[in-house]
Parts: sequence; structure tokens; C-alpha cells
Amino acid sequence: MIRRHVGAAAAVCSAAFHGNPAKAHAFQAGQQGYELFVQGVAQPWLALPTALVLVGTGLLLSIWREEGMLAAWPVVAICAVLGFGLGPLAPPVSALGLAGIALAIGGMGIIAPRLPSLVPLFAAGASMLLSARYLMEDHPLGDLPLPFLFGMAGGALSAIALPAGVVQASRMLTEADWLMIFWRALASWVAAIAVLMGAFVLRGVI
Amino acid sequence: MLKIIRLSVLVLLAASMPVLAHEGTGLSGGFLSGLKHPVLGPDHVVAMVAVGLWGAILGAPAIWVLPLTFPLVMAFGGALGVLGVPIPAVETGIAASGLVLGLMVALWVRAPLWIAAVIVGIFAIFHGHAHGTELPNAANAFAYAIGFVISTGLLHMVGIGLGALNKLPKGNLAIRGAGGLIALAGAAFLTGIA
Repeated sequence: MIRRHVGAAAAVCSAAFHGNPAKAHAFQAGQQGYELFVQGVAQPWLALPTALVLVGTGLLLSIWREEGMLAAWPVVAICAVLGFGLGPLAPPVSALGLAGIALAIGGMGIIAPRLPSLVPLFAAGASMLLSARYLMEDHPLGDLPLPFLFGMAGGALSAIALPAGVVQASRMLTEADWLMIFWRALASWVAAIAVLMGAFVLRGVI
Repeated sequence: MLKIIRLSVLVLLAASMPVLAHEGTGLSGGFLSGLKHPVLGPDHVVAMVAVGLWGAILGAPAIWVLPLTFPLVMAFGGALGVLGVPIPAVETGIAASGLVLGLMVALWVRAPLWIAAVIVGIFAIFHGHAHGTELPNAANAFAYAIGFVISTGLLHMVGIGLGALNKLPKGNLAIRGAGGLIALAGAAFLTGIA
């Protein structure tokens, strides 16, 4: 029985490595809304400054508390609505500003377990607001189609929730010291990358 | 079953395509160049592994404070390099880091945490500056930075992993030996032999 399963798995693996790209998302007429939504989801991940800030925020929340993301959901969701809904009304945010936020969030991630409750929640809200404003670029209010805006909000939320979920899941499995050291090391990497990002922006490289 | 596995492997090998990830373009090219950069410089590798080893010798909290200090301070050094702020004797500092950190491990120096952090931090600036001056030429500078910070962190983890030998009988001899080799390599870089 097991031998048969292993054999079948090997054959499936072989087939999977040779699979052609799926065409399920190659939209035709009538799928414009969903296509825009998907494009929106990708934006926070493809804009590396926002990806750094948001992923760092996810790490921070779950290093702070095992269920830190659950505690932060209302704040993050409200800030996503405000940021993507009313973002153009606020002054623009530069990549240098996001680098500063990423540095602060990475630094907080290193010492997260000792932070008072309001600090990570405030940081999560601020990172969502500023990332949303950065992603809105120069578009005036109402310029971007709604599916695209919803997509960007979903993408930004996922960029926080995904790392937060991974850290939370690992903490549910074990509270070993080495694991927390690893996550805090990752937070320090976010801070280190933010420092370099700031230098690139000042130099005009990115 | 073996037949199926062999057949699958054969099919995979026969139909494999050339890997284009090392083309050096775009996000993946920048990331891979950054990932490779510290690994391809033996003077960087020995120092970073030594940081992990020294942290493992000193135990908690140094085991995580030192590997956190190095990439962070290295990034500040890298920023100085990117911005064109000169630092004297960068290459000498990098070579000296291998010698000094190797000796710390070989001689089992149990320095206070703050002294260890300052020593590691000073050397990290030299390593970062060297990386930073080369960063803007990368295909994608930001992806390059992510790659080389991760690579540096992973090299520290290799050092910490080797430091776990300490728990074995006579393991400290192996660690001291590794430290001695690192110090020798550092001396060779410093004197220009290597």
C-alpha cells in the first residue's frame, strides 16, 4: 500500500515539475473587475518599501504576543479603510518615510515582548495608514477603480497577516527560546534592510 | 516502485530547462547577487561565522545579541558606503576582524556582553561599508540588500550551529580549532598572503 502511494507520489511530482502555467487567471472579457482586484492585491507586495513595512508589522505583532494579530485586527482594518479610502486627502508619504517606519518597526520587533500594549497597536495602525498613502501615489480621490482599491487593501492586510500567522503558528507549536530568537533576528533584518533602503533613497538608486 | 521513481527522475533530467536565475537582472537577479556576495568573499565568511561561534561560547543573551548587532550595524556601515561617506582602512578592518574574532573564539575569551557587542559592531561597519560601495551597481539594489542581509544572518547561524558542538565531550576543542583556523585566515588576509 505504502509502496504504491510512494510510486504514485513520485509520478505526480514528475508531472508537476513539467506542468504548464495555469491559464485559469487569464481573464477574458467580462472579468475586468476581478482582474483589477488581483492587480490591486499584488501592489503592496510588489512595492518593496510597503512590503518591508507590512511584513515587519506582522512579525512585530506576533512576536509581541502569540495572538497579537487578533488584538490588532480592528485597528489595522480601520486604518486600511481610512488609508485606501481617504488617502489622497493626506500629504504624500515618501519612500524615505517608509524606510524610517520600517526601521522603527524592525527595532520594536527585537524588543517586542517588553513593549507596552498600545505601542505595537499604534505601530500597526501607523504602518497601514502610511503604506496605504504611499500606494495611492498621486491619484486623486475616486480616481482608482473600487475593485483595485479593495485588492490593494486585501493585499496590504495579507502582507501583515501572513508573517503574523506564521509566527503565531510556530509559537503554538513550541515556545522554545531558539524559535523566538529566530523571529527577533528576522525583525532585526527588517531594520537592517530599512537602513539600506533609506540610503538608497537618499542616493537616488531607488 | 523503484522503476517508477527511476523513470520519473529520468523524465525530469531529460526535460530540465537551463536555470536563468543567475542572469543578474530584475528582482531575482539582485536578490541572488546579494545572497551570494558575502558567501563568495572568504574574508566576510570567516568573520561572520566567528561572530556566531563567539556568541555560542558566551551563551545567552550574547548568542542572540551578537548576531543581531552585526547585521544592524553592518547596515549602517552599508548606508555610509552607499552614500559615499569614506571610512579609512576598510579592507584592513575586514581582515583584522577575522584575526581578532578568531582569536576570541580560539582563546575562549568570555568578554562582558557590551564589550563583545562593541567589538563586533566596529568590525561590522567595515564589512557593511565594503558591501555598500558595491550595492548601487546591483541589478536591483533593494533586492540586493535583502539578499545580503539574509545571507549574513544565515552565516551567523552557521556559526551558532557549529557552536552547539560545545555540548559534546571535547566539543570545545573543535570550536577552539575552528577559531584558530579563522584567526589564521584573518592573519593571511591581513598580511596579504591570501
